[in-house]
Amino acid sequence: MRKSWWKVLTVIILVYVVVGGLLLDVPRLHILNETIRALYFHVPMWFGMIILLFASVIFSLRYLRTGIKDFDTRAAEFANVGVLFGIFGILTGMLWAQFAWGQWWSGDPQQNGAAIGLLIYLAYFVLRGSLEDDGQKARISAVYNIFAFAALVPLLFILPRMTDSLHPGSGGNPGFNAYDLDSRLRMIFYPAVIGWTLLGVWITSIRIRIRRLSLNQDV
Amino acid sequence: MRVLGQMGFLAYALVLGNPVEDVLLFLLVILFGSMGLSFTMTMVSAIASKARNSHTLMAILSFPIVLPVLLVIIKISKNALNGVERSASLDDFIVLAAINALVGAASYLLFPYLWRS
Repeated sequence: MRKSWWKVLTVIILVYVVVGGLLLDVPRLHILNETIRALYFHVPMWFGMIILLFASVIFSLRYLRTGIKDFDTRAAEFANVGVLFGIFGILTGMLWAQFAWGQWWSGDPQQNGAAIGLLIYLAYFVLRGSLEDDGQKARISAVYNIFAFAALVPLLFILPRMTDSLHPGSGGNPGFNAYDLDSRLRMIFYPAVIGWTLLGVWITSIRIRIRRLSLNQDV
Repeated sequence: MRVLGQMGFLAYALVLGNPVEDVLLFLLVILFGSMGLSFTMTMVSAIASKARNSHTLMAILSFPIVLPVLLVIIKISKNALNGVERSASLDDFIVLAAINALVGAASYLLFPYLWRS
């Protein structure tokens, strides 16, 4: 029980986020209206994805420094779940865009950037799948993982801000600046980020355990 | 690659006439853009050559990674072609330089790990 307190915390936070996010009052903002509730589900997905992928990069780095195989397993699983979060982020974003912009996919710079970012990590899995020798697979994919993250950062954080986008937060649409002022949103948004990220870590830890067990069985 | 880019530009300028209005900027873009491309491509092709079946792998790995560089290059060189004011492309140029620094540093640090076996 002592070790699983954070899982209980995760469940409590997520119940709070889902119930509160759907039922509590939200401020009326121009254009966004009720779809602002996507802030509790769509935005934390990206936060969670970045945090998980960053964890993956850290484990890749540690693998390269130490050569302990377990770090590679962890890096791979963190990337897996990170990409899962990214896919959910894109799906919820598309759902939101369908209501706010009238189209599932409108070729907005943010959407394209996110799709390319996912492509990078799908390529990471292709790379992992195509290498046979275990030690080589671990080393090369760790290198690619770090390199890919370095390429991902400008793609997700700099380029969309340089071009005109319809996404909230740029091009004169209400965005984070407006949210920051409103404590009603913050009350749910911050727990949402923490909760979804914890859920991601939880899924990852289970997957790592499964992977370890199956590795032991092979031996 | 930079020299190749400049030579290509010169050849095209000779044959087709030079449509570029801001030549200095265009040359700079060629310089920095080919630097970025060669950093990423060197890294990716090294990865792909380590994995045996490398031809398709290289395309798959490199495409999403070079895209940010490509997008910025396209934008600046369009500006240079049309002779837009330099200040308009300054931001993009800084981004290009930053990406170059990031990718260059990453590949410099990671290459030894990749190559020793």
